[in-house]
Amino acid sequence: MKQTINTENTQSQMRKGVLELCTLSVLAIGEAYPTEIIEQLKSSKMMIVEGTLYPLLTRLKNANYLTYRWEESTSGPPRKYYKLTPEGEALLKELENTWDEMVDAVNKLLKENKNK
Amino acid sequence: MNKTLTINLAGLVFNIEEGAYQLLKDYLAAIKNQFKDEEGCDEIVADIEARLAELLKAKTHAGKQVLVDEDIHDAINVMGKPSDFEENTSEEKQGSSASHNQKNNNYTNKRRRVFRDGDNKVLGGVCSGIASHFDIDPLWIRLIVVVLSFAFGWGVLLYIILWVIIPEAKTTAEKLEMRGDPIDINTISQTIKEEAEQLKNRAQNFGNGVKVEFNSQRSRSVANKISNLLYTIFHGIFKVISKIFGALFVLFGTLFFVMLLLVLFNVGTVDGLSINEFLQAFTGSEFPMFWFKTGLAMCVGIPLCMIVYKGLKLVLGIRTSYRWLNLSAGILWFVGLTICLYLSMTILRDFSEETPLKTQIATHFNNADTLFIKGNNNYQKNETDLDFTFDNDRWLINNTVQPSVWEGRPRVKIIASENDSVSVFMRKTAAGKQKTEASVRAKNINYNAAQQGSVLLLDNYFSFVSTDKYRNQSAEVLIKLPKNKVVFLDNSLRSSWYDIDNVNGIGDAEMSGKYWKMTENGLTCLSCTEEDLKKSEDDDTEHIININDSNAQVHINKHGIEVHSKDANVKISADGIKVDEKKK
Repeated sequence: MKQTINTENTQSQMRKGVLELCTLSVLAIGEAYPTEIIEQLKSSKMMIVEGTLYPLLTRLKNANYLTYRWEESTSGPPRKYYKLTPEGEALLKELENTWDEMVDAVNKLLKENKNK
Repeated sequence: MNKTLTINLAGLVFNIEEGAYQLLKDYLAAIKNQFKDEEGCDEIVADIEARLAELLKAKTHAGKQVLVDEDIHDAINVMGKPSDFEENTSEEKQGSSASHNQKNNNYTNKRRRVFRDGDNKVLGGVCSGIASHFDIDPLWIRLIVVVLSFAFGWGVLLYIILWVIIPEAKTTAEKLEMRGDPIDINTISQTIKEEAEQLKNRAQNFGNGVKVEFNSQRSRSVANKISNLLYTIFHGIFKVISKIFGALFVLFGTLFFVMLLLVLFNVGTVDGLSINEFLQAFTGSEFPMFWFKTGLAMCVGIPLCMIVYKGLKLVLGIRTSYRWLNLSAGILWFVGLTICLYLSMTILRDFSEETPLKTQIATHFNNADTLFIKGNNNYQKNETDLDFTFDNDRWLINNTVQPSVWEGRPRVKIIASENDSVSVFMRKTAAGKQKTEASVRAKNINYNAAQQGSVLLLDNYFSFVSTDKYRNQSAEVLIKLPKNKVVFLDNSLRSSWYDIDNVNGIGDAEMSGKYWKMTENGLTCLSCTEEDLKKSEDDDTEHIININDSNAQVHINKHGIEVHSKDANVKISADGIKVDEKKK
């Protein structure tokens, strides 16, 4: 297949990789509907394009990490308010650990190489 | 100035420019295509639609009510291109890109639908559309149509029907579906560039479709998946069955339609007579045949066309239905039916009254002489003459030498007389609107019977002029014979003997060429061979042993009872009952 490596692509791939973790983390605070999640991700510069979030949410929901309820909205279509399930909370913890380990490992590696 | 459409996106109403609508529609199609393999595809698409609706809602306000291209582009930029979503999943599916590709191909093949190819057309783009559906050169399909056109014009008919029922590929998505190309943002933008100018909207209730899908999402649960699976299975079975039925509809529909066309265009014959001539035997020449045929074409042709149409729709999986088509077909059918019924009634009314015209033929036969009944060969049927059976054994013959005259076969019946003399009666019958009309027709029937010494000469055929039309004309001769009168039935009237009772139980035609005697029990054969009688043996013939008969003997002795007569021997003994029929 194609896959020419360019910086932009690599960056977006990196972001996408942790999008799941970030989404779970946003929902850990409490219920939220997609636009709220998007706002928060955008404010922390984690969002690439909004379209990526919807399949992600659906996948997480289908895997029982999330549940949702409908709420009517005055300004638009009805909204889905998502919430973590106990499994979702467990997954979040696990991913957080992995993330911490990875960040440590990567930072360490980068630092070592820089100092050489 | 631009045309706008009203759409319903996730339950919100938007006014949208045509071009922008196309853009949005293609974008949603691309997204749907993107997630087609994913579980919960509909849900994702519905979510994205809801978000798009939210984004687009923010673009409108009191001063700006119509969405333009710009707005859609902005929304798409926020949402991202489907190709951006792709990379998200490609990591998970690493190494399986080949199989993914294959899946993709299968999918697009399944999604393929038949459209007319308006960009590549000679007439209506039917051939090129079908060709691109099957991925072959349109030349072959065109060739088949042309060849079929030479065979009774089938190709032309088929082409016109297909032209009507197959929708033209108008939107980009439809064109891609027609070609079986995958619908994604790349192919779409490419196609759009190619023919951006030509794009026209098909006013579909696209927005409604979105809403239905959206609402159905709410009620979907995990438990529903089982019923979904069942639905898929039954849907598949149903599809196959409906295709089979569709094919049968098409087959029989076209078959009967061709038969109808043959009738309408006077192709083919009924027993050798052209259809028009045949019909004119009933209708006469002043009948508005053109209108009758128009009515017939409408009231029979339209249902047949609809059957073929529905069948093709089932076979090709076309779901578009035109209300105006059904409605106008129904109206035309009704009009045709009315015309047909009205004109048929005018003909049928002519059959409402029937007047028999009875006459007695003046005859004086000597009771001692044998009566010969013969045909006088007033009309000799030609090889080329055409005959039709109407009522069992009533015949109508189109005389090729004199086509304005129709011939028919009379019925001759022989019964016992109440008195001591031979009497001959004739009965001519015809039908008409009123009794007077019927009796005029009956008078017009030309049929004669005359005595010539000991011979009764009967016309072999009755005749009437064709302007009288076929109105159930018939001629019957009834001959009453006194007891002990001997009669010879000549072979020349072989086919005219009608239901003559006789003791020997011999069939009407077989009675010809033999001498018969009128006895108390009916006509009795005097000159029948054993073979003649054998023929009727299988019948339930009753042999009456007349004890007064001088030839009959009854023996009663120790062996039992034996009865001998000229017809049969009956023996009743310890061995049982034995019946022997005597043959002459």
